Amino acid sequence: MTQNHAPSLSAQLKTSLLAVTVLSLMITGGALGYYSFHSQLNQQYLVQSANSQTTAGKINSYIDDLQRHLNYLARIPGLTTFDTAVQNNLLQGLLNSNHAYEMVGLVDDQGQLLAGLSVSSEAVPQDWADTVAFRRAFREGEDFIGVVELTPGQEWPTLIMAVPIRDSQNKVDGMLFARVNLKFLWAILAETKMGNRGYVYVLDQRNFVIAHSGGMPDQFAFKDLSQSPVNDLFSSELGEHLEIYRGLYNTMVLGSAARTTPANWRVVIELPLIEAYAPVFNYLIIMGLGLAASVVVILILGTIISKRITLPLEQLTEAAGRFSRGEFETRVFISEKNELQTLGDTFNKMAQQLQVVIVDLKEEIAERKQAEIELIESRALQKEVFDSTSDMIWSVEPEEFRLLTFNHGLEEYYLKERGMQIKIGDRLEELLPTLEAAENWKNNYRQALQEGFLTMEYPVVAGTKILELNFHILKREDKAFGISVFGRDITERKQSEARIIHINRLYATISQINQAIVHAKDRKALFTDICTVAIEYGKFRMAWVGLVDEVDGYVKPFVFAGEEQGYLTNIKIAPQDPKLGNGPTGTAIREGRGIIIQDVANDSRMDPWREQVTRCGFGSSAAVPIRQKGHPIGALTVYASEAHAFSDDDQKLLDEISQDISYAIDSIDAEAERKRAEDEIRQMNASLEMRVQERTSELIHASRVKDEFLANMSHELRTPLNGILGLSESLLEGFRGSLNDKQQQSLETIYSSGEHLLGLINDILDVSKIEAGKLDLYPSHVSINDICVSSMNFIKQIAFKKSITVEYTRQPAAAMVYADPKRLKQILVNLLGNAVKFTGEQGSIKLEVQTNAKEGRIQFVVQDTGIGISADDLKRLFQPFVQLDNGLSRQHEGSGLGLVLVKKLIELHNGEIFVESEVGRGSTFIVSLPWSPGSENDDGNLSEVILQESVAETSLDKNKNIKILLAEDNQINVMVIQDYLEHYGYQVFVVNNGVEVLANVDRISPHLILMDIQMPELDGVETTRALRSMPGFASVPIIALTAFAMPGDRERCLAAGMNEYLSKPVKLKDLIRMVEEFVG
Amino acid sequence: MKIKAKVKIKSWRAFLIVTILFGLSGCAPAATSPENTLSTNPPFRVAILLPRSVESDSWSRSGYQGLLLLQKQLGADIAYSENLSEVDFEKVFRQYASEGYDFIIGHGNQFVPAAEKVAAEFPQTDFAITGKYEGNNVNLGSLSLREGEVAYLFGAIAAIKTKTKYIGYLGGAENVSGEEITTLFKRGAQSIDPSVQLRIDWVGDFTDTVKAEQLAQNQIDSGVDIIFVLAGSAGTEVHAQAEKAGIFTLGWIEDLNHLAPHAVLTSNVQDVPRMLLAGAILASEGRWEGKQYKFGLAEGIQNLAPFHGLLSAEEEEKVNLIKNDILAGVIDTIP
Repeated sequence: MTQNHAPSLSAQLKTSLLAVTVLSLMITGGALGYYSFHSQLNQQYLVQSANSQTTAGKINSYIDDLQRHLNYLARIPGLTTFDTAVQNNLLQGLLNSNHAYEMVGLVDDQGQLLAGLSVSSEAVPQDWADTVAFRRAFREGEDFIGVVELTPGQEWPTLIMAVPIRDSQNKVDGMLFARVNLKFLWAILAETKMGNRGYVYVLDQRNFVIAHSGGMPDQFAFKDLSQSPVNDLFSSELGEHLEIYRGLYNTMVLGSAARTTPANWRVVIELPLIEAYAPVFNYLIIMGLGLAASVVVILILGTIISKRITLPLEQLTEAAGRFSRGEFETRVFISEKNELQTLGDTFNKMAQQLQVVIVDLKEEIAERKQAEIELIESRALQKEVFDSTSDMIWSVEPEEFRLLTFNHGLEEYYLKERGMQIKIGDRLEELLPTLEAAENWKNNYRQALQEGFLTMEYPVVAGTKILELNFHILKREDKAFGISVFGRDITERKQSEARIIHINRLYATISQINQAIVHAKDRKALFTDICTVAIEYGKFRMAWVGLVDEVDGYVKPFVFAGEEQGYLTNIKIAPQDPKLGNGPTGTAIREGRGIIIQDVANDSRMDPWREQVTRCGFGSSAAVPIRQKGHPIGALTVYASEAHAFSDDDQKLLDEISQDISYAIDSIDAEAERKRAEDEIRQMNASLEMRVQERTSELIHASRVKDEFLANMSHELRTPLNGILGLSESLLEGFRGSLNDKQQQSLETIYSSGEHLLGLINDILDVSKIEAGKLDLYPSHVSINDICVSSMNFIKQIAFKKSITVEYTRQPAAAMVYADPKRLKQILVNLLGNAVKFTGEQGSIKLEVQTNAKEGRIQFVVQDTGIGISADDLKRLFQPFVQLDNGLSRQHEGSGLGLVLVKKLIELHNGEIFVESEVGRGSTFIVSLPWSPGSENDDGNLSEVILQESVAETSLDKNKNIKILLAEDNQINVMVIQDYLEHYGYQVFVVNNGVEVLANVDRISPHLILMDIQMPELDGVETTRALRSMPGFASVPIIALTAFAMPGDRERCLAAGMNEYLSKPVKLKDLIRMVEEFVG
Repeated sequence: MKIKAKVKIKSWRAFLIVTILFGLSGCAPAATSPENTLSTNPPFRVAILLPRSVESDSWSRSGYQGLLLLQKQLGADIAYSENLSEVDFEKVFRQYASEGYDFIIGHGNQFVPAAEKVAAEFPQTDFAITGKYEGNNVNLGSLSLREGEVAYLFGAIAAIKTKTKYIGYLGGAENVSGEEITTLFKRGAQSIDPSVQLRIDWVGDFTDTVKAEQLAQNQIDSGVDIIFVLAGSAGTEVHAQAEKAGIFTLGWIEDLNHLAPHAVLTSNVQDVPRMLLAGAILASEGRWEGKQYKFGLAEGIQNLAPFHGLLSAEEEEKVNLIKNDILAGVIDTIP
């Protein structure tokens, strides 16, 4: 028996009573409350509405009264025409009739006051013409009531009333007005009934509160209620609604309103809701209290009744409950003398009898139950233990070996491997796939029965799995009733064991082979070692290395190890042969990869060697190529007794060995090669050293000889050349008498040949100086224009002769370049000269200057339309002593040094030269030098000097008194210079050395001294120094003449006190110009 | 928070009055409630002279409806004459007066001269004119409407709605009332937008529909897009005409929107019957005076008809604000 949760009988009784009473009270009370609430509210509103109507009525009649008084006077015909006294009397009567009138007056048809009175001393306004009252009452002819005003100075709110008045013809011709004091409103509002907390107020047409109950009118201020909900009271029908809203003082009120007709005002009474609802609340409180009292009474009654009826029942129920819980001693005692007492007695008797029976029964059941529980628990535990292992455990009966028990492991095994569900009682034939297998198992079981215990490893599932089986005999009272078997899957364990052994063997083999490779001195030793290792560690039967004979293409055994048994004797393997090349050795060599033949006895590839293989008892074979520098030259072949002896690991091992062997062979070869090369180098070095020594001494000697030669040549060649040029020039100028045409022609040839020779000498000298690093630059800022123009002048004449157009676009005068002017000019003249030289008749030459401030470069571009240069020749263009086209060289004379010199000079200026050319179309040489646009002409004199090309034609007479002292030891030079100067009218005095200069200078007192530098006794420099220290000769111009056109000459001369410098061979025109500069 | 607890109490009204009568018998007189005062009095007799046909003319009809109201509210004996020509006015007044009618009404200003004459002959009889008239100070008074108020509102509405800034007034016969109305119409319009121009055309009478339509067409053609039609039966067709032209109109006396639902913006709904009732009550009580009694928006005797959705909410709000200002006396609607 269980506890019943349904409510008890007593509780039900109480609830029902309570529900009936409360519900009836609630329904009646609620309905009563609802209706009385509404009737109360309506009644309240009715009363309030009636009150507001009453108040409005009072106000109406009051205002009507005030209006009627005015209308009474207005009806009097001719009021406007009466005497003022009469008018005043009538007005006084009006004032007396009601104290609400504060001021009254009559106004004529122009709006001017006729007569007026006021209760106070206040003056009555005169002009009413523009007032609304006048316009309405007089012009519109209607009765007028103005808006309520609260003007300062007036104690009360007031308003103006006005009516039209008539003349004696009853026509409107004026206005009667009265100012009315609204004090009466307060009096009327005070009479209004509106409950304890209610209040009343009056709104005018503007929604202003113009009066309200309580307080005094003189402390009153208008309040605008335009936005107040009170206006809803008038939104539709007049005051017909009961409204609850937020009232004048912002509390919830019950509002009612009534209109006043003449003034269009509204009387509003507002009763706070608290008061309006008070009677309803009282009613609700009383009803609530009544309800509560009823509930209490019912609860008390219910309790008493339940005590008398339900207590015994509860007792019985409780007793029965306790009995059912096993308290068999339980008895009930009911004191009530009714049916319940009999019930109690019967219960007690029944309990007595039951108690005896139950006690006996209980003991027996308890014992059984305990045993059962224990059994179930132990079985469950056992099953759990058996099932917790993945091993298979089962048992069979000893006769037919039917399945007795099995665990989860066996069940899973069958499900997984065979996809079948096993069950107790299955026979071996059902459990095993073949009869043979079933027979095997029978044997196992029988053996186990015989021996009492059996352990074995047993392959299953077609040998892919191995089970470890333990058989036990289950005995009871010395008689076998079953065989239990524990089976464990040891497949993986077995496989990994085998693999580990195999791998160990492979590593041992590799390791041994590597050692052999390291120690191998030559091929034979290497191969022998490898074969031995393969036999010893690789556990192969036989191993051999064969190399391909380059002559006949057959593989010849080189070394072997193991049981050869004559297998290699006369063996025929040819890698390229379709039959004899298909064995492992041949295939490995041909294809350059490891090859395995797992069953040599049956494999067709082994056909040619079948007999030998069978004889020697080889089961399988493998071969790997042996490479020299990547090319297979032979193979290592191994044999095992059994078929299928080679695994994937073996394949890898063989490949590894193949690579190692190939590496070893290459290493051995390389070592041998290295040794041979070492020897050769050693020998070569020795001979080279000797040769270098010889050559160096030769070079030193040659260089010294060259320098000496150049220095000498410079002087020795120039001096006679000076004579040749000087004399032929003077002859050409006609100093020595006139010449016939033939003579003139010959002389010109002599002169130009001399010039050419001089150019050659200069070029050679310059090049060698540059190569010796002895050529120094004297850069300064020079005018680009000057340089270019003077360069152009050099070639103009020749160009003109060949009818070649020469073009140069002048640069701005201020454009400067920082360079050695002499060398820059030399570069340009050289290039221009070449251009003239290689340009045919009617061609054109152009010199162009391009500056690029951004890159800081200036480019001198020399362009011609000449023969051009081929691409091949362009490469050789700047090599010394090369003249292009041997055929042309005769036609175009030159040293072949010009461009070399140009290039070197440009390089000295940190510049570059480029050539663009096309054969037959012309060439363009571009000289690019560093340049900055800011260069300024700070060395204007220099450019002046360069520019002065033409010699001014001077009057020879003016030179007559000018004395020039020429110090020169070479008689040819003396003759040339003296001749030339005298031709120009100068007096020339000649001395042969410095000593003679100093000795004669006082006597002669020359205007200018021309001083050779290289003189016997005392050279030019020393002489000058001495002169400068002598009185009177500090400033005599001295011009140096020297054949040493070497760097530093000029500086040395100037430092000694000389004024100018001319290098030999002296150009006579230059000399004259310079002389004139000093003495002109 | 406003608690909505509107309780209709109409049915309680009678009860209230009875209660008050019983409870406060002898005290202050109750609000004028004609039903309770007529039981034993001899019938009050009222006659009205109507200028045009009750059938076709809304003004005349309003007078007739007033008469019916008097019959209903005051239990009055009633009589009326319609379609009267001016020469008959005096004769008809005199006839009614001599037949003993207590209160004789001439429905319109045009009755003033005749009424003045006859009123002088019958000083014991009360005469009334519906229209602007100052009264004879004895027994001829007038009942009139402050038409300027509504004219001003019409002007404001027209100015709010016009796009052409050109509005029109189409009047019947040119008279005092017409002058006041046009003045205030213009004032109202220009209070909204001083640039609005007004065009005024007079039909000459209240019946010539052909001329009215012609004039209306002239206005439409000249760019007028709001026409204030006050031409009696002559102007009836103008509303539909305007609707066709896609412009608006303003109506008079009663809500004329049914004539042209898309054109009639609003109308001046004049409760002429109630005005007549107010006068009749005074006369029946013996308090009729020979003066002018004026009614308007404040008394609820005239008001704007609903806008029938032709004004937006904002425009409607704007018009209502102006109306409130007129009621409060802030806006001057005196001609």
